[in-house]
Amino acid sequence: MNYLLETQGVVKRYGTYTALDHVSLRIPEGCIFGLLGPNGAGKTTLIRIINQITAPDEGCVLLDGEKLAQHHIYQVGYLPEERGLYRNMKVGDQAMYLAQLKGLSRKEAALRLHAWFEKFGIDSWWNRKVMELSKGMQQKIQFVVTVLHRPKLLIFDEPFSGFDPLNAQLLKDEIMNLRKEGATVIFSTHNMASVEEICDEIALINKSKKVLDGKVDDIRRQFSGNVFHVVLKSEEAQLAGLQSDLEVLSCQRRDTPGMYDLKIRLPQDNAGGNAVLQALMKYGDVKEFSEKLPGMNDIFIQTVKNAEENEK
Amino acid sequence: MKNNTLVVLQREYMTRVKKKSFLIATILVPVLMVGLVFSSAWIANIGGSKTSFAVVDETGLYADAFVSDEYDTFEYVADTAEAFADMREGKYEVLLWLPAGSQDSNRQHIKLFYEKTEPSVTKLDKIETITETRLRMELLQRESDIDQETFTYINNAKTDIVSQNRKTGERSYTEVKTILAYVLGFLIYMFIFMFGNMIMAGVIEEKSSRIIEVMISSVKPMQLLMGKVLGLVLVCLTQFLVWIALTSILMLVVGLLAGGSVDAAQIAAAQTGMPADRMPVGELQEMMMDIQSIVASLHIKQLALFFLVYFLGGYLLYASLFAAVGSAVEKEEDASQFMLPLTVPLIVALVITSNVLQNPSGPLAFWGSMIPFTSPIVMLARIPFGVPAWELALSIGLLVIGFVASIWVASRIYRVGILMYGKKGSYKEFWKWIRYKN
Repeated sequence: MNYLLETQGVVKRYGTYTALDHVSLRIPEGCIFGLLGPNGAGKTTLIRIINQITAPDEGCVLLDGEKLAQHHIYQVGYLPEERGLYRNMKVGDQAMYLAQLKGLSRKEAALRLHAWFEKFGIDSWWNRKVMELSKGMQQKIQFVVTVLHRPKLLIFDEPFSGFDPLNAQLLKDEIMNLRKEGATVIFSTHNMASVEEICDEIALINKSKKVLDGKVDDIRRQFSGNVFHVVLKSEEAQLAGLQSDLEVLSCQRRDTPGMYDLKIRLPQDNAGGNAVLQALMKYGDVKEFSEKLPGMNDIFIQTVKNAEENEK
Repeated sequence: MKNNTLVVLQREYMTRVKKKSFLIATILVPVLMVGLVFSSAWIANIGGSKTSFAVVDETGLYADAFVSDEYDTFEYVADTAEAFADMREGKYEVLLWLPAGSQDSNRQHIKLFYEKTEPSVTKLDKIETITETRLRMELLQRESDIDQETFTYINNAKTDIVSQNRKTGERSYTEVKTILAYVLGFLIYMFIFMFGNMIMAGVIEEKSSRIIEVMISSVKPMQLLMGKVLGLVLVCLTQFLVWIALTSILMLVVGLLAGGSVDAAQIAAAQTGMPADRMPVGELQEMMMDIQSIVASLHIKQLALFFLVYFLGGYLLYASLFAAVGSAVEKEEDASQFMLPLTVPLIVALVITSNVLQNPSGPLAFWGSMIPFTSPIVMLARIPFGVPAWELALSIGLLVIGFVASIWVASRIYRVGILMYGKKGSYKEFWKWIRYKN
């Protein structure tokens, strides 16, 4: 596996306060990586280290296998959570300025900006002042400027805040597009539904420490406790031996005669769902068979709570 | 990466130069300056308002002393009662009463009665000069039988002081230099304050609008700081240049347009407060020569060079610190608490300067012109009086060390401050920020 970004034992202290405590992450190339955690957990500090705004006290960060260096800033695009623009500047001038700071020539910047502005339907705003724009409009400009220099690594901090659902979808599609074109995305948000929807992997940081990371599917499975949801067409007598064969967490009869809702946990030694399914077939007609995965929201809350309890 | 300082500089320069306030200041200042010079010449030329005097001379000494001229009219009236009656009719504005009773002493009391407008100081001076001259002549003639010509000769006796450099043979014009020294010091003070505040406002704008968060991933805080500071320097150099160019052009144009009526000689005359046409030709020429030699003795080019050096040095020293203050607050109102340490040295420098004018090479002047926080103002005020080369070199050297150090300190505070929200800065915090590692 090719990792675009690796942090190895990163520590950051401010005076006596430790903002990051030995955080190691591996972000594969072409992945959308969710960086999660409660407020004040250290996400922003980590993002600032990746952006070389501050340097870690210990550990190191590798981008594309190289130790982070000055020239890497051109390969990173960062959309911060708290973002603004010069209110008195014209939209076009402003975008050109930010693009040039990312190393684009004037000509190249103008070319790409007009293409993006047309795509977002905001090209007519080029000569308007920023203060005349709605917040959503400003967010679009900030997004365009973030991705304009085609960075390998994109970091979005709460990208959807301030967007209406329509524009949020537009943005989501653009992020997916960028990934398709080869970009790797770090995505920091509190919106767990969007994490489930677009992230491949996540890391959860709580109180300066990484408490959980991995592929989203794996994590959800891990937290599911291997519980399957089954709808079985059967009869009371036929179900008698079921308890000894499988670990049934609950069994409820539906109002419809002969229909049962079951929750079944996979045995530890079992190869997987198929064996359970096979076992189940002896007891009736399997109408529905699905793995029950917990939402990221529950996982988030549970993990943070567990971490806090462990501390006590 | 160095490019980014340039990109920031470019933006700072362009946005400020394109501002309306910049355009207005750039055009208005030279117009005002030229207007001031020419209008003062013009005012001197037309003189004051005309006043009509009724003169009641009860002593008999001043019979033909008061002669109407283009500025005032004098008419002799028999007694005060008649004069008051005429005044009531509006014939005279002021009654000049020379009461009898003091003819034999060397004191003459004069009383002026007016109704509407008080006679100006100029008029009082004029009347005083006329009466004193006449009184002295009367007294001299009574005591020593002197003739009119001899009296005039004695009465016009005067002394001129010329101080001159023994080596260069150059005359010094201490009065002119004193004014110039103060003006230069004050200009530096004003510019440092003005541009320092501009920088600070810019930094606060970036922080409070959160554009800083967007930019900081592509530009280092130091680059941003230097781009801003240097961009503004270019703005004010541009302004200086335009001011100088525009003022010279305007002077020339207005001078040509006004033609013979207002020329350089009259401007010169205006500065002495005497109308040009009342000055004898020889005196006028002498005046022009004087002005030329004054200008020569000031070494304008050298002075301009040092003005630039000390302005730049002082600006770099203070502007970076103003920026650091701006980075530590989120609103301009909160900045005032950190302004004191920046304001006090500047004001102290001005106070020292007024002392320097009396004693340009005393210990206070010396130390004031060495310490980088005050030297841009104090040293500039000393330069017109002549400063030893080694002192200049030391002062500039210390100033360079001073601004390098202040930029270093400021950038340490700035890099932490710009990303610090919700936490108000304090001097203790600043100290902590300075010591943070990168």
